[in-house]
Amino acid sequence: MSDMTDKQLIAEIKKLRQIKPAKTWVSSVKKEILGQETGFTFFPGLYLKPAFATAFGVLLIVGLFGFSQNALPGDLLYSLRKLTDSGQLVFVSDADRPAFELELANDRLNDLALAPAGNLGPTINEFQANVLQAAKQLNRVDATTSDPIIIKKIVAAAKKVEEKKQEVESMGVVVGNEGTDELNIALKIMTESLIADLTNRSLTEDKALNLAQMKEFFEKGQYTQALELYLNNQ
Amino acid sequence: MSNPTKEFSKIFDDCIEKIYRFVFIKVSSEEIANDITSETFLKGWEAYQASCGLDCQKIENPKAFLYRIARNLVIDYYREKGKAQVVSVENAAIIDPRPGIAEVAAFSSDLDKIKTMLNDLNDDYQNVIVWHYLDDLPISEIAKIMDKSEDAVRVTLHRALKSLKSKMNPSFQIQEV
Repeated sequence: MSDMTDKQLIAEIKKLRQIKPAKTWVSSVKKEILGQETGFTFFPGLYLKPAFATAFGVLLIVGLFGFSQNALPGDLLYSLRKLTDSGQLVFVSDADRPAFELELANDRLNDLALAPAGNLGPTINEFQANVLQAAKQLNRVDATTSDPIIIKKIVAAAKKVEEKKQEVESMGVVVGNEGTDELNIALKIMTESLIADLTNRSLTEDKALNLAQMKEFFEKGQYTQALELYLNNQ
Repeated sequence: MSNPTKEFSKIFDDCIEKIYRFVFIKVSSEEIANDITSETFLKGWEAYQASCGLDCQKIENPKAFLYRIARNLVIDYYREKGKAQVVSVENAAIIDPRPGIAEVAAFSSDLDKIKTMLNDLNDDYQNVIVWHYLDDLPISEIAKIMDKSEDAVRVTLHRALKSLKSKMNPSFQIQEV
């Protein structure tokens, strides 16, 4: 049995990132300490309108949207919550769309982790749809000319989805690879284009080493690691 | 005009998972990790409010401050309770039967192994590994938390990793200078 390298050891250590507190506990602690939930109000400020009837009606809508943020698959308000999430798309720029779709996908994975076993099917479908959309949007991104901040958001969101999917699957939930296969291909294309771009440049010794490491990650199919390495050295 | 509640709310959102994980790795109990983490943020909030008093000398690095509180609370916990994990019988009945992510992670043999090995290290070694590799804190920030120089932290991190590797690979020999 071969000894573990530093890289392998660090990868093992990073698996401990799966340790997270329960969302419901986090919400209750925050409320206890600060008097706040971790959710958000969709229409902040409208409850300040003076007319009582209008204020009451608006409060009701605000309350509904607010309560829906903690709804899970099978709950009455879950559809409203998904509507709220998707509704935010109109405010998202094209450049930010891939990362946003991946965040939605991650939310669906969080829902799968908390939802009762009988209500998972539609949520799994939603997750796959979000990831597929993200992959389609990603195919339109030219990594060599895009703002590194946008790429960073995409990579961070993709990594979250990868890790969360592993967590959820370790709980026995079969999420499948539909959507994530396409995402992987999109990330592969992005990594390939960056490697090709770097290969055509004259690089310092450090950057040449990084490029070699990027290629290693690429060969192993570890595209988010390759992209992270690229971004950390910009 | 500053809004301490809003500011600390953001600090809470940024740090809650990290502080919880930091504590959980040390105490290996969700119940105790919950207690210590919530106490950490309660103390942190009280201090933050106090620091936003008349002269508004705010806490410079709230994250480092929270880690220090958490670390001290864990030390207090071990001082009072000993290292043996205690599960009180009266609380057993109210445990949520659904496995939380922490329990599932604990039952995964790979994760359990690395967590156990990490727990076997001394406090400083554990801390630097968690802060740098799990929480992505830069060396400069870790140095502030530990009140050490950046060079000292780098040395500690290097030794911590070596020590952990020796536990994971029994054939690996540490050669201390």
